[in-house]
Amino acid sequence: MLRNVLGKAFRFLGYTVQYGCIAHCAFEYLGGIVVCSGPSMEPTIQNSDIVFSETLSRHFYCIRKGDIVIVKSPNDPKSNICKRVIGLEGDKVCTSNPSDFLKSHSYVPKGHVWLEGDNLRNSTDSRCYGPVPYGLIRGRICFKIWPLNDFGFLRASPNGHRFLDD
Amino acid sequence: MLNFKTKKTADKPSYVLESFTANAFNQKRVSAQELQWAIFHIISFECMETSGHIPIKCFPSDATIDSIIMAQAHGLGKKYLKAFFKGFFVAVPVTVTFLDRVACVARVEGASMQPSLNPGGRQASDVVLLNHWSIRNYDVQRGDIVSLVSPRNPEQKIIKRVIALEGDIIKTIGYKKKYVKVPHGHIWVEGDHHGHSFDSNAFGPVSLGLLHARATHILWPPQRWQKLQPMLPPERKPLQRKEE
Repeated sequence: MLRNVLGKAFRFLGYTVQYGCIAHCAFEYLGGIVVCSGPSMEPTIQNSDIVFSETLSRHFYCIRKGDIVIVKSPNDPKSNICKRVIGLEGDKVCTSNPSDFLKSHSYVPKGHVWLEGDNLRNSTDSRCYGPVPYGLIRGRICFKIWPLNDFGFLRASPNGHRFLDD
Repeated sequence: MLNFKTKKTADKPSYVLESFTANAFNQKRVSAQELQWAIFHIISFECMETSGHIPIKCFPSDATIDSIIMAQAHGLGKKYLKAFFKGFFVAVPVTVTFLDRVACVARVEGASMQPSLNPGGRQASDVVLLNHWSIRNYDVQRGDIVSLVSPRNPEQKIIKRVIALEGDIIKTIGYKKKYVKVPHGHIWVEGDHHGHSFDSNAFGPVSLGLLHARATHILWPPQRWQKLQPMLPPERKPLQRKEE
């Protein structure tokens, strides 16, 4: 009787560990489903939308300009933020707010990216805390799952003028 | 014991044998001896029913037994293949998760942590145990040796000593500002070998999110096997610690 219970408990533990490990590998190396909250990426991603994020492009270093990425917050490593990549290393970016009269520019340092929310008026991003190290990127958002009427790939940035091509 | 039904197949004992083989022996529920015994009985039974006596000739021929053993071997190979794949799908994720979350082993390159690590210079490089589990909540102490993703080159990991935590004020060596207050969620890391280390004095405070693991032991070479104690160089103490 006791043996039976113990055997069942161990089997349950084994399956838990096994599936936990498989889940970890999937989330770490393939991708997962993320619920976004906050207004900083409106109108591309509304509050409490469900999106699919993949981590392969982070592992293979093929994050490009214009991708929406999930990043560990530089000031609080336990929370994640979701922003659009405006500039990669060596790119020239505009560091001032759109409402500012004087425009200021700077170059993104090596190994860093410049992130901005699509909702420029209501977003805490690189304009506030500067360029973000590439190592903090967790994944790239590929498509939206929920709400269903907006299912599919994400729209391009509404702030095209923030990309400086040179 | 075996459970089998004999079909009445007037003059085709081989048919019974075939179906029997397919159903029971391929599934590996019986041994080879049981198999031979069963074949003998089926054939005897069949012959008794059809002709009334057990003919000597109805013993399973060598060819029949060979084919059955072959079928068994085929089943065996399939079974091992299945077991192998099952083990593979358990072992690989478990190992990867263990290396990612609990601990892993890494070789230290470069002279930036002399004399704590790599004291012998170029010819000897230490192997250290990196503990991921102890920093899962990002709690490090001043003096710990940690590995982190390089802020300048994300493909590279660097190993450095934590000098100051968030809120501390530190006197820098050759950074653009002479005194730095480490911002929220950041740490200040330095190599022990000042001047030969690419550390926070070059790239500033680093975000805690880049933290990879904490080095706890030197594993190799064997004569240097030791536990790494948190040790803060006295001259690098923060000028002002964060008010607790």
